[in-house]
Amino acid sequence: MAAIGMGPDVLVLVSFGFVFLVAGVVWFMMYHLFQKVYGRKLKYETPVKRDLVFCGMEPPEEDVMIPVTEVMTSVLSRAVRRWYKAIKEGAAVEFVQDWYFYLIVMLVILLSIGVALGW
Amino acid sequence: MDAWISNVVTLVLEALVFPGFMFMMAMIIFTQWWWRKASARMAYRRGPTRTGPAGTLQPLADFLKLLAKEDITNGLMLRRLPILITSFAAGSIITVLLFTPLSPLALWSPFDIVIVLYLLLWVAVSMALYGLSAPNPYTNLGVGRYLALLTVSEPALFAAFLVPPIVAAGINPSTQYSLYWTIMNAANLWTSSAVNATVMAIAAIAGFFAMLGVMTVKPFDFPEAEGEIYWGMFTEYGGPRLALGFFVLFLEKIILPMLYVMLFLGGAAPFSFADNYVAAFIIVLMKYLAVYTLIALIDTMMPRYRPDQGIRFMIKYAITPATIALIFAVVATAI
Repeated sequence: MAAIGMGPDVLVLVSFGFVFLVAGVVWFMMYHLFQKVYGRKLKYETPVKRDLVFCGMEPPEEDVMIPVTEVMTSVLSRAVRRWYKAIKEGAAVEFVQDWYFYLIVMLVILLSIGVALGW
Repeated sequence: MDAWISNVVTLVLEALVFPGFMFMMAMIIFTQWWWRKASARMAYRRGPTRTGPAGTLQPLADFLKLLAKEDITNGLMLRRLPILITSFAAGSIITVLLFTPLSPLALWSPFDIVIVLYLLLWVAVSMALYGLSAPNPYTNLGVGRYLALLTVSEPALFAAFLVPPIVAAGINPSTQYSLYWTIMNAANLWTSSAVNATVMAIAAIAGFFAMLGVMTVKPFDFPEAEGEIYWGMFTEYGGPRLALGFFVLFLEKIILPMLYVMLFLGGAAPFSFADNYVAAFIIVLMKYLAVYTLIALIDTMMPRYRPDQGIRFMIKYAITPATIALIFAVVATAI
């Protein structure tokens, strides 16, 4: 049971050395080796092999991709819509009605008192 | 010079054998079997029974089956990036183990918790890139949801995981915000003062929720959402590419709860890694198994949140309390 201490800059370099070492072993043992020994011998061609997975149907000709950033911003905006609306319209009642709001306020007060009194 | 070579050889063996790559392979086989058995028990099923004693080798059989399949890519998919990025993610998360006392010869530096969090972040980034490398409407939906989830769960996890090193530095400045020394002092983090105990409790709860989000465990599994958006991020994957993606996710399900146990649940207490390594290691494994079983039960019992519900939950019960805990940990340490 021992530990080797070093500066943060050296540790970054050392740890990245290990990251690349382990990554190389993972790639070799879990991809290259299996594919070389067995996987590549299984080649077969079918008309749909290179098509998109699309509910078992043929993908349409037109672009069906959904922009990732749109999905992300849509999810985030729907998540905070109620709070955003409350802030925008000054509807403080949205916050005051929520027990969570009181819990957070009490927690902050309790911790502030604790820190101030050195508990 | 001899000592230097001996240290390098030991560290390489640790990274590749124990507690690194080979040990993690064994852990994945065991924990996946355990997860399936626990989940089956909840649903009045038997779980795996046929391969190996009590079905223990079923996850290995499934894994080898995937690895040995032909590597199929569709016409739009990037061919090399998913392989490279998942190997790199596996490397970065396994390297984190070298920073903990689980490694008989560990590495540490002041503020190394930042390096650890950076290495953990690579897993999330690589899984997003892994999904983006295989364009498909369902994959894009999954990646969009995953990125939205990461926007709130990763900062929450970071804020929560920063609290123990800060509290440890307040109690004993020689820990220097290092993961290794924080874990070695983990038993004292709850008992030093009332404020520290409160801050640790808040960070532990918030960290647990954030961990569920980062691991995309139910109710936060909407990026995969099997049956709803096909298979989300994994829709286009099969064979060895899917095996590598799963390998990274399973590693995350081992290493994140293990870090959680060592930081928030007293580490190896009542034993110590310095006095009795074997006993300490077994205690950490047992605590880990308890946390892992809890996560498996939550995953089995809970329905899936809608993406916006999941994000709102993370904002309320993970990122906000974790930030409050972090602020008060810093203030209490500074005073």
